[in-house]
Amino acid sequence: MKPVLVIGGGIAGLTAAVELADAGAPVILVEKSASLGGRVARMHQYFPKLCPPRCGLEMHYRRLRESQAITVLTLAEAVDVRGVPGDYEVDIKIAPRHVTADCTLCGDCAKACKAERADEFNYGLAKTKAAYLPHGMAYPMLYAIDRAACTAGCRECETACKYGAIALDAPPETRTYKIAAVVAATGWKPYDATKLDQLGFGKCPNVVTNVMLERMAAVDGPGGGRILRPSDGREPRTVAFVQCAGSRDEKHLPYCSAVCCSASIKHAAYIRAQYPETAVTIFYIDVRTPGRLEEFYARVNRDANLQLIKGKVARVEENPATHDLLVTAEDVMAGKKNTLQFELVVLATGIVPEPGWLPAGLGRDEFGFVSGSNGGFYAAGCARRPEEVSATVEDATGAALQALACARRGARA
Amino acid sequence: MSKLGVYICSGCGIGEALDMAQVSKVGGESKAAVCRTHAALCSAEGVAGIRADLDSGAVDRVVVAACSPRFKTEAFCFNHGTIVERVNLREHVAWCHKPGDEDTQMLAEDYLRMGIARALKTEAVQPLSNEISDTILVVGGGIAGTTAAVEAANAGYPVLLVEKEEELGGRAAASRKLTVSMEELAETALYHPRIRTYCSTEIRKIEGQPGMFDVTLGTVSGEQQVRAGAIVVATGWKPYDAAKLAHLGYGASPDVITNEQFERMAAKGPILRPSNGQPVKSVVFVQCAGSRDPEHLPYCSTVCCLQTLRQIGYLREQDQEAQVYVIYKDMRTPAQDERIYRQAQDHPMNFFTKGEVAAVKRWEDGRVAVTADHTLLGESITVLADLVVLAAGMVPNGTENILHLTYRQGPELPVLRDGFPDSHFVCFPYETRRTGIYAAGTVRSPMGEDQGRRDAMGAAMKAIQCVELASKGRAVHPRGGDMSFPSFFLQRCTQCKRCTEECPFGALDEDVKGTPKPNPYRCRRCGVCMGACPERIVSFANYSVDMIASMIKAIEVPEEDEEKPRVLALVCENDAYPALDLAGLKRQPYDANVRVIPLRCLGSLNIVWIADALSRGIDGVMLIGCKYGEDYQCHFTKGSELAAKRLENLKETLQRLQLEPERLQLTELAIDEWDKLPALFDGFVERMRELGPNPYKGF
Amino acid sequence: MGNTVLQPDTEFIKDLMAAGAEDVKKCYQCATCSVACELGDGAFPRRQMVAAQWGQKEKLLADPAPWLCFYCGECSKRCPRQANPGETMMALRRYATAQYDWTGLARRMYGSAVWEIGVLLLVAAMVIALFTVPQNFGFGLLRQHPEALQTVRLDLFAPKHVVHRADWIMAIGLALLLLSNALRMFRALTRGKHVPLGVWLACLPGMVADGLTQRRWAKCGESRMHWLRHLVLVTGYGTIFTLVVIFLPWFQVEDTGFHWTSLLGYYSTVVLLGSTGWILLDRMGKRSEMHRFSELSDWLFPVLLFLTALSGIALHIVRLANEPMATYTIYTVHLAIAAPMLIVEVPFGKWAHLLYRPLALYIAAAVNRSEAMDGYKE
Repeated sequence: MKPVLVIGGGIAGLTAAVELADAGAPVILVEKSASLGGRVARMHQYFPKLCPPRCGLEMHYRRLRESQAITVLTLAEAVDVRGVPGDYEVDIKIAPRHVTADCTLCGDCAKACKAERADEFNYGLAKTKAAYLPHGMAYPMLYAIDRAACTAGCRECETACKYGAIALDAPPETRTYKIAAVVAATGWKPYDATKLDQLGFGKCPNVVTNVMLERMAAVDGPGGGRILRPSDGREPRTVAFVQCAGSRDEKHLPYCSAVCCSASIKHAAYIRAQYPETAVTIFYIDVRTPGRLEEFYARVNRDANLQLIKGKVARVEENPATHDLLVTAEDVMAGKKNTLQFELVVLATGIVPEPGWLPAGLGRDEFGFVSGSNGGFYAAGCARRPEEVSATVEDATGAALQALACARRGARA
Repeated sequence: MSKLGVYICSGCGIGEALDMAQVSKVGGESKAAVCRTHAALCSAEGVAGIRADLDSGAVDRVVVAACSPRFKTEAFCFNHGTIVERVNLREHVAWCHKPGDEDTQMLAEDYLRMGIARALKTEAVQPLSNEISDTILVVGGGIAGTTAAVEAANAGYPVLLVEKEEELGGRAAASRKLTVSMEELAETALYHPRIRTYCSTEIRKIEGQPGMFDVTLGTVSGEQQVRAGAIVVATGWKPYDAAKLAHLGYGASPDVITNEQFERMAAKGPILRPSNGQPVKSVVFVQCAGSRDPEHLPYCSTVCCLQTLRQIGYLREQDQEAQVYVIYKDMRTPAQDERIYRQAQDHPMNFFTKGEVAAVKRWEDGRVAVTADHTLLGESITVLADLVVLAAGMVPNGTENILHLTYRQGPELPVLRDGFPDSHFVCFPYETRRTGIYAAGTVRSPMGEDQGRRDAMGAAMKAIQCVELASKGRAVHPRGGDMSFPSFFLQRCTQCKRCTEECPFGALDEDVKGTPKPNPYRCRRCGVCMGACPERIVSFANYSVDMIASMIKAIEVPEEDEEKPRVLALVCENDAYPALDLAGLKRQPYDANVRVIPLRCLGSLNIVWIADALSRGIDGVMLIGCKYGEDYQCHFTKGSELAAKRLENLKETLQRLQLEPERLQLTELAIDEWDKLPALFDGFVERMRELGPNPYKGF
Repeated sequence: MGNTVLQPDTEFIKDLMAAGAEDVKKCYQCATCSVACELGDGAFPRRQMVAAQWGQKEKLLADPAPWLCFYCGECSKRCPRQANPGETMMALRRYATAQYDWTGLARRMYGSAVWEIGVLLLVAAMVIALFTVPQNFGFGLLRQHPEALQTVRLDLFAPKHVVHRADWIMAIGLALLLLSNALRMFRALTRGKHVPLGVWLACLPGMVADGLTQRRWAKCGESRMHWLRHLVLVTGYGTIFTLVVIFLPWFQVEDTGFHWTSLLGYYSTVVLLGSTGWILLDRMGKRSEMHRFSELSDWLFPVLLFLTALSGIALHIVRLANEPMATYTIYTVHLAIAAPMLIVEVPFGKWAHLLYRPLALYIAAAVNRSEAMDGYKE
């Protein structure tokens, strides 16, 4: 059987790859960044169980480590697919990592390195050296060197590495593989909050986004897991969540991002667990916690220090002296407009499908989500529809079956 | 006699932290055929050295004392079947303990001794090799079941599709509109060369195990037996009992109906008032009728908002002027479906408001009056309608009188909460607690048609995987690929039934006397049975009570006057062990008096190990497992919980032996809580120092 | 509460949607508009939106709130659903204007372009007839005085005292019509509300100030410029209206010498041409939120005002140039534009807001104050 190409190493792609391999199909998993894990690796906990995503990632990684059936290519992108269902040829462009598999994680390269780069894993909340380990749950567990961030002419890491694992001049390469089908699990990115000009992001330091809060809550995040105000590193005593920051908005994202309500409720739970005195307010249009997430919502909502107000926040202003934030919204059920002061404001920004290359045959809907499953191409996860991890996993498993069927048909033909 | 090769790496700071010559001596003292040190064992040269020894036959099993087994797996993967034992001198020793320190050195030497002990106790696995059926049995011929059947058959697997009604279709057949035609889908299934469809048929009995389920199908005319390898349960949902919705007016007037009744009416013909057959000029849709209500269904039924919008569409096809009211708690149209809500709003005669329905009563003119409080109009409102539709929720229909399993632990899929038979894992939504049986669609969680179809494909995929893995003698999730399985030395069995009761997956049946009857294909290889057995008769080729006991014996316990307490930490290899690795990666120092042994699951903890440790003078034993309780994180659903119970029982025994119960401690730790480990270890060792040495030291 | 049955007025919803509120149903009550609006009570215009969606005609006609809005457009600009609350408030004002007019003419004119333009043309025709048919006025009078064809002699074409009297009759007639409609508005907005006389009197200065300065508009979002432009426009037509109605004997002069009234006339002309021209360009280019949606009534008013000013200044120029026939013709045209504009727009059309808006604000202020007093007493 020819392998199935899975594009994207986030939870959807990983699931599809592992499920396919366990069903006996070979897989080529390509990921454009330096490590698998995608968005979930950056999360502190999943709702509704408040369990760490790393637990599931570790299970997948274990399968990857042990399975001979899965070829993992990082810093790789598919650029062209030719052929017919069951019998395609794909070109994959692989950017050099500049660190070979001889890397032992000793960290000497990072110690020697003087150049810095914005840590995209931490949504820019921190910096790494140009020689960096993507994160503590990276796969492959190897350093990488961001040549774009290197100081010109510097080769310090090369000298520092005792294992000869640095390859600063490695060229990019393109490989061609025979494949049977494609699962596109290209994932999502958070909506650019600077486009929400009334909500203060980018202007007020204490306005952060939900994905940033996730990093702030994570033990390996920039603050060691303490959720603190960016302006002064103090613990926030009052926190506001602004739901639908961009979502359900014809001028931003006309669709509902589906996960933000549960995510904010989860974030409220993080904050309340860390700070027994802190009061949390969630401003919403509709609370959307479908299925059994409702019980999670009900459970968190029993907390007297959590308040939900129906009314969209339409303005966030800053008190320049204290960097506190003035949040204006109408409490719709009371019919009163209030301007309340908060020490931290979290924007529940939505899900935007990752743009980029798709095999012809997969289209995009009016919002940019991947639609259709044509021939041997199948979309899965948030590339297809904004959804939470569990639904993404279901979706990816289903897409894996379709790809498997295609590969089997190809093998029989 | 096995020929052991011990290979010690001095790279990544191990050489700087340890006296390598001394470590190497431990290898020499064991009966190792080869013991070598290398500066970078994972390098091509290092690996080639090991490979050469294996190829020459100088060694047949290998201990690699280097980094964590979680890394460089590929480098240290030799010929198939070669036993490789990894000793973690990097993350667990060199990276988190004082270099050049006596305690660090002792730790490394203990670990190497323990690793060697483990390697010597490991046996090659002889995989299971029964004949495996690759047939998928799908129970339920609704939209999910039929989709699962068709997709599994398309992937090349024979399918048996069982439906209790006369025709395929289920509730979808009673729907007016679907994105996929149920009729076409049913036809595809009926004429598919790999699908055998059994209508008007029920499951009478299921015996056996994955790969060899013997299924008795029953019809009015008789019974027949079929064999299947894995099962998809897609028996759908039931509407919430409307009789319980009297507070929303059900029963007050024939014109108060449920969304399901509305759907049936609309599927058949025009929408008319049930009371008099007159056209409907006004309708009130009451959302969350039963759902999101702790008194009724605590969950959200997910589909009702969209279904109401669709049903408004049916009405609009026959009447543009009818007034339609929707009273909702929150309008839930996630993802791209938001568009459907916006479009439905556009109609001038559609009226939406958030509100709490306070009363639904018959009005004097025969219409129905619906009163809602806390509306968006700023006041309570009463509207009159010809028809009131209660958006009653979904109740899963997959765990009562469906499968008739002949399992010792019960005939149906175990329910965790709210009638849903899943395991409540975020990452692994298909897992049930019955191996090889997967729930699909609304059995598992409330969901709509589109998600239900995707879900059915996913469940079919899991069933396919199950037969594929079984045919290779491999375990399914979460130890996917594991070929070991427990064997029972039944001559010594006392029929205490602990193993059959505690197995989280119902893998063990019993004979009349209570002797366990293993079904290895149902087994997930967690080792709970091994931990449960007081007679220690359960073991795996590569994991046994004896093996761990030997490792404990390999720990050198210093004399009392050396003031070096020894603590044994039995940790879950799935979560706690990677957390320890991460603590190492982050160079988090902790007390070097702790000796860590990973277990498959804390549920495989056999208390004899604790007795062994304490009797050898080890001062305290820590157990570190996954979180348990409602939001458990245990991969085997209740391993750590079982360990906690065993520990409680043991503490009583301990007191009789005049040992402080504080010498035992169970901690729940998530995989990302590596930052808590140093304080956890340091604190426990400190308490052991306070308690003083174990009085059994030196006995 | 709750015992009275809520019955949406479905015709009202359709009429309102036809009057410009076509997107009102899209609102999902997020209340972004309530935050965007600086003028309302905190639930404005969100609550009016839901009331409009639900066809609550009586409630809305008794509600002064839509008149609080000066249409800065901030709410519409920021509405995530593009439900256009600003235009909905405008539509509510159009609808209310039609409802308050007891003659029914306003309703017909808002409902139909044929009616609106027809009425304007009819009045224009009547003006032209006035100048052409009688023997002792206009062109008839001119025939009796051939000397007026040599040099401009307006008193031999349209004698001041006649025109002045006609001005007064028109002004009083329009005022009566407008006041009678305003009275209907007053009754609708105060129904069931008890406001002591003292409160009415105390709020009166505020109403005058509102009417003269539209001071509340200055608070609106980013539209201070719109407010200023409107204020200047008000001074322009206020000046010219005063000149024509009260000071006509000093304004309509015969000689080419300097008159103090000319300066005021120039001011008005510049202001009227400038601001209406600017407004029309904004509407054509849909340059701001308030100008994105233009109904016929929104076009006609500035167009007529612009043409009035244009013909007025043209009249002035040809008179100074001593072109008798041109002067008389333009005089007729000028009145054939100005008179219909005033007759149609003041009591029935958009211009009625010059009274409705301050009145609504006045009533709202008085009701609020008396409610606050009641609350204090309790």
